[in-house]
Amino acid sequence: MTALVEVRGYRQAFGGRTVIDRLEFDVARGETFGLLGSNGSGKTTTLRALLGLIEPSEGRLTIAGSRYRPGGVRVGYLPEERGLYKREPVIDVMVYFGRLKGLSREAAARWSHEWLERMDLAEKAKLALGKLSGGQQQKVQLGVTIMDDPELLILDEPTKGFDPVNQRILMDIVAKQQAKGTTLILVSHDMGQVERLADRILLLKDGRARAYGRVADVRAEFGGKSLNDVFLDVYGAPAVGEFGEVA
Amino acid sequence: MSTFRTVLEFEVTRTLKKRAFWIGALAVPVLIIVIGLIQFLGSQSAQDAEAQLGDSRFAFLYVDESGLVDASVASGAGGTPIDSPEAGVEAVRSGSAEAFFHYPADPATEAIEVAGRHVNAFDDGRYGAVASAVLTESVRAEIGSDELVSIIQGGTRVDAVTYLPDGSVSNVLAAMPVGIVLLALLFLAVVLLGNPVLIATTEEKENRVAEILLTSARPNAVIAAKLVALGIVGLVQVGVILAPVVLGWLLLRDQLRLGELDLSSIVFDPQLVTLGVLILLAGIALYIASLAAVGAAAPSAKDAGGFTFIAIMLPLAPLYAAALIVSQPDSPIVQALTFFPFTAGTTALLRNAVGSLDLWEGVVVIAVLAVAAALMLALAARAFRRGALEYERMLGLRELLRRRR
Repeated sequence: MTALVEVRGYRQAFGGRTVIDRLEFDVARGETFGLLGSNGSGKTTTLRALLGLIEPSEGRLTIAGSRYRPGGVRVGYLPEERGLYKREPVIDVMVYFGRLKGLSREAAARWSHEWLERMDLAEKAKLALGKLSGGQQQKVQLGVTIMDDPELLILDEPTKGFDPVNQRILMDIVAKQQAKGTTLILVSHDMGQVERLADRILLLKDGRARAYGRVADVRAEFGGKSLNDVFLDVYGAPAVGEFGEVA
Repeated sequence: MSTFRTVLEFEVTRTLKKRAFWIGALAVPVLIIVIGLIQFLGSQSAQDAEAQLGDSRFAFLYVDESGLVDASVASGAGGTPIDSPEAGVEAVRSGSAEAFFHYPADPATEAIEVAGRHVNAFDDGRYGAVASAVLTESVRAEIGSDELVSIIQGGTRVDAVTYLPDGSVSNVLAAMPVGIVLLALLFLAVVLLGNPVLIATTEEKENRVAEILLTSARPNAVIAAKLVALGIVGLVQVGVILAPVVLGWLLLRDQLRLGELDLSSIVFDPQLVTLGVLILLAGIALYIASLAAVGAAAPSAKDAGGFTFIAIMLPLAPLYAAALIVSQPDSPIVQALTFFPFTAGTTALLRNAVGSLDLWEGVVVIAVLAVAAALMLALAARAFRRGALEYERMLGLRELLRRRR
């Protein structure tokens, strides 16, 4: 399979401090790729550099052979820090992003209404987004992420803050996108979820790759352990006794 | 172009759909109408006060130490002379007289003392009006010539013509109102656009939309469209503000006693107007772009507040040197203010209004402002891109200016 995403010699420094060093990996077309690591390991930074939101200090990060620019490859991105225009009507926000993603006004409106119908939010279309519950806003956010039928879907901590209903919807979306052959990058702390969904993974610690390859191969490399135990092996689980006892 | 148009449409439409925008925009004309009504009612009441002298039917006592009050005028207005000021005040206090006027020996330097029976807040003013009118009419009768009275009251007309060094007639004074209006429009823009620019440039960060937006659209197109949208919204706002003024002028000119304001005497000097409009537009562009750069570098509109104060004060600062700018346009300070981008708009517009801005100077100022605005816009776009993910801290100037690969 050809690589859709290529990262070569990527280094990222902030204020003279290197947070990601000599990172290299590929994501093949059509595969689901798990990007793993603890908080601060560099996952979100890598995605932001890949999407041109920050400029890499060194190295080359490409999607379909070139640096990502809006209007090129269709990318659906659900960032960890997420939100939409809360004071605007739901339908206006969805159509706006649909048009920015290259859809015509009519196509964006049609798709948005269908999505809201499916999510039982049709009657809320003209309400300001901020008037919807947190869970309803998440549904709108998911719609915005996939509305232009992305070739590459990047989900950064997708279940963070999602209620069980929306987690289920998200998993349905992931399953459908996988079936369609969409390339998927999944950042998650839920190792069980990644183990179920991902073809290959990259485990980051302190900005460096500590494990990379097919899920089965990585597990084998760590003595057949589950991904959760691989994670604990790499990061080390402190013993409860280390914390001492409260007097 | 498609991204630019999409963002532009979205920004303009959502602002014009907001009730708060129309409340804000209509507040100014409503205020203008209220002030106009007060002025109208005030002028009516002044007219009534004048008319009152003729048919004022309240009786009053008066003491005249100046010797200027004409007994027949005072009598015609209902006045009766007495000898003692204390007696006059006492008569009012006891209710036996409605009013008492005490004309001092020198009314030009001393106040006329008026005592009157309280009627209500509006009618109590008639005592002073009648006391003054009696004295004015008495003096008018003493002079015995309406023409002389008119001259003394400054009712003379002057047709002045000044000549330029080349012998041609200078129309600086007649053209000045246009220049002043352009200067006023600059300040209107500074006042009206400051906050909206900051909100527009920090909103994505505050709502955490920046990452989604910037993976869907290029930052330069987004920021440019947002600023153009602000310009369009600003024009709508100015239109809403000016509409009642124009309507008021057309429909209520006579009632507002503006008939004397002869607009036909204003000269539209082509050079002054062209330079003025271009300086105004370039000045507004620089102002908006500067504020956008500040807003884009800040994590929230609140955090940008301190810098905004500077951005607003800079265009206003030259007004403190207005006397110097008008009287000594060639002084080094005024020259510096004229060509320093952030003070150039105000200084050049003021000099343009009073006719001391040469054509070459105007052209240089426009170029300076346009280049500065373009640079600030580029900086704003860079700040928007680099600061989009800075949710907690202000982007430093060094970070902003540093070139990246």
